[in-house]
Amino acid sequence: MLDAIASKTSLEAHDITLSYGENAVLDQFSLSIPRGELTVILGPNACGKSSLLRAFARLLPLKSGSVSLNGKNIRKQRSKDVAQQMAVLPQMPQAPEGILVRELVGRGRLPYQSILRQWSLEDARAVDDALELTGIQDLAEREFAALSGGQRQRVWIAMALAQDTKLMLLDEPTTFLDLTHQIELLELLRRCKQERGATIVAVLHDINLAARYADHLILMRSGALLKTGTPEQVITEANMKAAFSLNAHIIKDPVGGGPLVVPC
Amino acid sequence: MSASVWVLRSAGNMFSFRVRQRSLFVIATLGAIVACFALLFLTVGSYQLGLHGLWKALTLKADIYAQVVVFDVRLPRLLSAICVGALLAMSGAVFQSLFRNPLASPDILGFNAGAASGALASILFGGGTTYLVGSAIAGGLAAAALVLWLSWQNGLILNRMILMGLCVGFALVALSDLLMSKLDIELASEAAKWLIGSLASVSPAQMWLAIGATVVFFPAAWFLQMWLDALQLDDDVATSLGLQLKALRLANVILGVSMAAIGVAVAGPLPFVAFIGGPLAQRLLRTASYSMGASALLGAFIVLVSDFLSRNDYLFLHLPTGVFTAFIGAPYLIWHLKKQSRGPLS
Repeated sequence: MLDAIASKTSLEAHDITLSYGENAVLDQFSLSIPRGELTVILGPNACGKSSLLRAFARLLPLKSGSVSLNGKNIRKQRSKDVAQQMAVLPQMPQAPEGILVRELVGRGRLPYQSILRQWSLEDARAVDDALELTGIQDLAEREFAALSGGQRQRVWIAMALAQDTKLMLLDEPTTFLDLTHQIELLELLRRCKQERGATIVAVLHDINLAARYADHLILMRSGALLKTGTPEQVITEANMKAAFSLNAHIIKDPVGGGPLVVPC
Repeated sequence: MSASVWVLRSAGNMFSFRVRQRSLFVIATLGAIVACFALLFLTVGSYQLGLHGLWKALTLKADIYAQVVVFDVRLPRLLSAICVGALLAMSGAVFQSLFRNPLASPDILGFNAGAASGALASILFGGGTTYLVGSAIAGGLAAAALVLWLSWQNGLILNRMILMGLCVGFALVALSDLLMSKLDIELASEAAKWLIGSLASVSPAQMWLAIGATVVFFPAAWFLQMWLDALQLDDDVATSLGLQLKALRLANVILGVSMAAIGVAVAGPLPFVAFIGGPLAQRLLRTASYSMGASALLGAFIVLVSDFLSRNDYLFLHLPTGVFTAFIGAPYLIWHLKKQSRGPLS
């Protein structure tokens, strides 16, 4: 009984169907996200992995089915309440022109603000904490537009962290970063998970990085779920063939110890 | 280097606000400049008063002539100029935040031209000042709706909106000319001046309207600033942060059009005032937000200076106020466009 409560997930999709025009992007999809883990959604281009994340994030309307957050339908909760429980980082967001880093990170506090309480000491503290955890205190007074790609992505993560939620959804946070910065970012996500006990869901492209950092993988193919589980369970030669039409050997990652995909 | 911030709050955290020292400094300085210029405005003119003379007039100890000059001529014009400037500039800041672009101000987007056509129609059909404001707001909203509808294609396309705004603006200026040709000659010459933007014949009713609107809208806009700033974010980010985008946008469009339309109903479509306040405030405050306080003061200052020049005609023969706001605004727009590395029209 206790186990059942402990393993109860905070984010679930029940039979969701999403479509653009006639084509179903996701069809009758059900899924739950394990709590306190880093979950990575993998799959070939246009398999619906970003759509799935956006459906979880209430950014895409569902044709049928529902998404529940902490046991309640996400559409039946106030958007502001949802924002206090779940932070979302969309793919390549645009920042307001001329904004400073501290100001942008501060926007993450919006779900806690109201007309009479526009900024509190708590907000200031959350922003400082987020800047510290992401290691960008030195950039706080710089203009966002003047930063490098890797720094910008840290700022966005800091904004999501300032939102002070137990759940974070990130859509391709490593796109357009070089390998060093990709690894830095994934290390940062791992730290967020460990230090804040956050549940993190990210869409990633790189299978080997996903295998290294994820606790839980969701493998998709053309709008359907192919396999979920630990990297060892999901990353197999048969699954790589099925999902990506890729002939590959799976060997043991000499550093991380997990599976490593070597295309033939 | 570090942006110092104070948190102002009441016991129990009922109220809690952030005050940036830089904003406070800039706004206080702008306020002082406007106040000094207001004194100049009240004292200098064809009837020279001097500070002492002004004081005597204000305390009702001067002769009747000085009191008429101060209370019936200069003070109403001063207050109208300040309020109209503030209203137009705040309206500009609202739309610039909403559309995330400094070019998206109601004068450039044709909303002011719509308000002017509405006001003219009301004069033509004998509505008088009672219906003037209502029809100006209706005209402004109609122009806004038309521009938005024309530039909508699975969402708002900004470049298209600016071009459509310019087109609708031109069409509305033509419409205004047509309406003018139907007016009798005396009304038409008065209306012609008003169409360029003029504070020369502001009635007491119009003055009180401008003051009332500023008293209502300035605090409203100041409180709403937070959401305007938030609306500058990406749609997806803003939605994720729990904002109700549709409702907030609609509320702000109505607020912005109302402020612009009232400004236009009082002083005509003064060019560039709405455009200039927000971006200049942004630059001075070194922040992303189009600060309402600083924008309002900058707008007030520009209209005040323009009207001072118009009233005292040092150089020209009684040119309307709008000519001078255009003299100040147009070079700023050109400079701004040249400076913008990635032009929204490119």
